[in-house]
Amino acid sequence: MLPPDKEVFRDPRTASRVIAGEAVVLTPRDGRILTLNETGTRIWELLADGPTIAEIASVLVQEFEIEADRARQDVAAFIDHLLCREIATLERPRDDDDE
Amino acid sequence: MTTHFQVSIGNAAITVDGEISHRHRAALLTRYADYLSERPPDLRIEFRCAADSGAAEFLEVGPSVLTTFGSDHGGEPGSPFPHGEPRSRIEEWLQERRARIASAESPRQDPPLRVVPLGARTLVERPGFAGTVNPCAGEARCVFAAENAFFAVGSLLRVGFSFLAVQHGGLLLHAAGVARNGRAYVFAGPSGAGKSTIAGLSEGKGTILGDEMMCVQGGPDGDVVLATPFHGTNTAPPFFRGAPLAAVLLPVKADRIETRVLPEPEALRRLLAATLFFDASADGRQRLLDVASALVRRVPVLEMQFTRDPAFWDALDSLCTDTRL
Repeated sequence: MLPPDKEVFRDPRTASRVIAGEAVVLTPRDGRILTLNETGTRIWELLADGPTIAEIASVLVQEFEIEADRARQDVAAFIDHLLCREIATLERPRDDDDE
Repeated sequence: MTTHFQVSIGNAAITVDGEISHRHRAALLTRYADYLSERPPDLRIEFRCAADSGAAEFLEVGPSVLTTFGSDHGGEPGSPFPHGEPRSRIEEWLQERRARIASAESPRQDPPLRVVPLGARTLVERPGFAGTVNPCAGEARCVFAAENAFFAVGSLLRVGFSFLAVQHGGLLLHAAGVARNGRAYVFAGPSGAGKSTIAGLSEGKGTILGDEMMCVQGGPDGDVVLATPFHGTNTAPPFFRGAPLAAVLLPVKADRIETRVLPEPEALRRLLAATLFFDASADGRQRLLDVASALVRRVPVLEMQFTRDPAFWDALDSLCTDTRL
């Protein structure tokens, strides 16, 4: 399981749009269309800032009133799924300002 | 024979330049006659017969990238365009394919278009031709095996316009279109969804705008449906200069007639599945998402279950009076 202090980022090759509260994501590898539910969409929104697993879980505990342990497990599993689909990454995206 | 002509769909224009046989040139100018224009082009496609030069050098790609052409021209073994001996008459092959579909035999599948992102360019190829498209630079190149010019030009035009439609705030859809009571209905979906069936059932119910590919585009006066030169039947639908878009319907063959307005996320997902688009870049796909999501916010998108009966038009007419349709 991913450690709670691991930062996660959106894969910069991914295109997405939130519409009517649901995120629609095009996977970079094969252009497949994924639709995320309410919780998945909230996590997707959080990934824009590169949070840790623990930080994401903390937000879900507050906003969705679920237990902390379950939140961490669910978040880790969901992030694993996003990593497999290559729409999330553990590498901090390069910033043009860094060059 | 040196060939130069320009095709437009809406505000998008593509120039075709190359050496093509007299016979193919005449066929192309006939096929695209209603779409010829003098607009400043957004994209220029340069064509060359594979016999005249090395395919990989002309396309500026590594030879190993191409499956259709290696160091010499030819097609994939076992394909409709056998290696080194391309099909002599592409139109005969197309006729045979349509005849099989019409006879309800298992349709021979078109060889899938192979799409490979190459940075700013996209490689597209099928047995008989290969091409690269760089929409940002407004350039494309295509090399074709002898006798495949007509097919290659049509395919590259489809690919080119799929890029340009999005750049111009629209979408190129796998769709049939029918105009009725002054507005256009677009029936979008993958192969087998019933687009051609709906076009056939709509004879006498409205004006058939197309049965294979339609362009929808937003503009200052609202969303419009544009004609395209890409059709599945032998007879081209009558050309029209655009019609106001009433709704996008996603047909589903069923044992009853029923319509359902789709929630926006589902409408977006299913509309994207019916969109022709080959840009694998993140920016290109983001632009596609932005255009498509804006469209589903403005335009009703409905799932339409239908039978082999034109009575679905009664259901659509009822919706016009009941909803924002």
